Amino acid sequence: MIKLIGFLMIFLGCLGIAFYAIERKARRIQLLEEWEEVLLYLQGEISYSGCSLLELMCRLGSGQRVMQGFWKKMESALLEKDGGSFGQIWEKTLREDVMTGFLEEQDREILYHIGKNLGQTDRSTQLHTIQVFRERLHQRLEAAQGEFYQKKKVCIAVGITTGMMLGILFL
Amino acid sequence: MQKIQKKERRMKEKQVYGVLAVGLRKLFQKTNCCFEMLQEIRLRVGEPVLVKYAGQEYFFGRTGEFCKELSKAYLFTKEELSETLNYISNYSMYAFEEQIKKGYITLPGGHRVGLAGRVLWENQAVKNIRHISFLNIRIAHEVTGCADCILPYIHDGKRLYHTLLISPPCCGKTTLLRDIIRQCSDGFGRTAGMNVGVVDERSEIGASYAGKPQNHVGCRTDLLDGCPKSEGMMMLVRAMSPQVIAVDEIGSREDVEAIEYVMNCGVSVLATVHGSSVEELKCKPVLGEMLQKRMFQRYVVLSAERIGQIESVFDERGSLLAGHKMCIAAKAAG
Repeated sequence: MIKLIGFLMIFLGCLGIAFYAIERKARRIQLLEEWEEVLLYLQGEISYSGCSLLELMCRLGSGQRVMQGFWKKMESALLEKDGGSFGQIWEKTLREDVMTGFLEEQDREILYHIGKNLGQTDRSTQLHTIQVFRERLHQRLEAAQGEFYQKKKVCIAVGITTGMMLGILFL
Repeated sequence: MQKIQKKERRMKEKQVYGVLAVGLRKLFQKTNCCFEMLQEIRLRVGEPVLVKYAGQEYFFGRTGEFCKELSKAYLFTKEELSETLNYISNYSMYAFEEQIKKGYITLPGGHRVGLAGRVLWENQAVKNIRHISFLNIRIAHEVTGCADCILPYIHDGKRLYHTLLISPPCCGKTTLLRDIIRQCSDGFGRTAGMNVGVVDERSEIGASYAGKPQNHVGCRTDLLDGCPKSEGMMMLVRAMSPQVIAVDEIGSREDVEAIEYVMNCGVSVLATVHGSSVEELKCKPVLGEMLQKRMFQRYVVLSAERIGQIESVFDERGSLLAGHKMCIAAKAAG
């Protein structure tokens, strides 16, 4: 009986790890989708109303978003006016944000670069820069979506097999 | 009342000092100067920080005091300028592109930062200012009530006469115009308030920030910020049904044509123009024609000798209604 319980625990543990890995990938896709949406929003607002970044951070922070905490922190950091450029504040806040942990290093690099390029140039260059980064993120998103279902199956299969193998070994 | 004034002053201090680089800001916050007397802060890269305080120019000292000795002055660096520009523009230079082209950025509270640097010139117009190296922070101090003594001459109790304020530059005509607008809008004495439309082409009347006037322009005032005068006047007549339209610094033929149209619509016009006398205006090509047509019913001439002093008020025939040296800036001078 105890052996069976042990087997079940090992099996479920491995399966849990597999589902956690799937969840991480799903979260990454969700975040990339949201970032793409946010960049589109920034492009629209900068082009149409010419709002300042502070105002935009405030609006983004008040919406229902996965990254809401990041936007709120950005807004308060900008309001503090405590030295540092926008890019530095952006990178620091992004590094401290928990949600960013779901992204891959290359995704994060793109996000850091977005911050470095925001607010420093004229409107048309600003819009063009955002467009470039939006395209890069879109490519990453498409690749992530493409491999998601494939990796999902692999993760479940690996989880089940490993669970079974380890369970049998302990029996 | 005192508490409210104190709170307002603190807010103003925060608005002005808040845009300064951290090091300089801390020194200014330490200074025990009377903020109401502070008029300008001039920042130039590699040069000492200068302040205009109670009409006098001082160096801003390294320990936060106002001094006359250059050796004690605080030197402003390139990094501090970059930091200051970040704060002034809320980290978004693109958002102030149109204002930068005109050479200034308006801050919350109506304070204005003048900019100078390398100008990019394209298609006969300023495209942008790059390498900004000079800043002039001009602190806004409103003079409420400065129009009190001329209102009886330009208002008959029911409507405002078509009025032209004539003044040399920097003699208080925009301040006077703003106070007339505010009083007409809110109402004064037993006179009811009126709907006032303001075309604020250079953001000097309302000093709008994000579309909201930072100066008191009255509760019945609609303001078009950054809009060319002639187009703005037409827009206001068609859309906002004002009883009074106010514009600053008229001069072009389009302005005069728009004013004529507005007057024919039964709307009172309140305008300002650069000049030192009615006679001088008569010699100017476009404005001279306007005066000959007797479009305006009242001319208020401000003195060049003292800021805010009204020299005389004339009617449309040129008869003197009120004379000499009415002091309208008692509060400011006091």
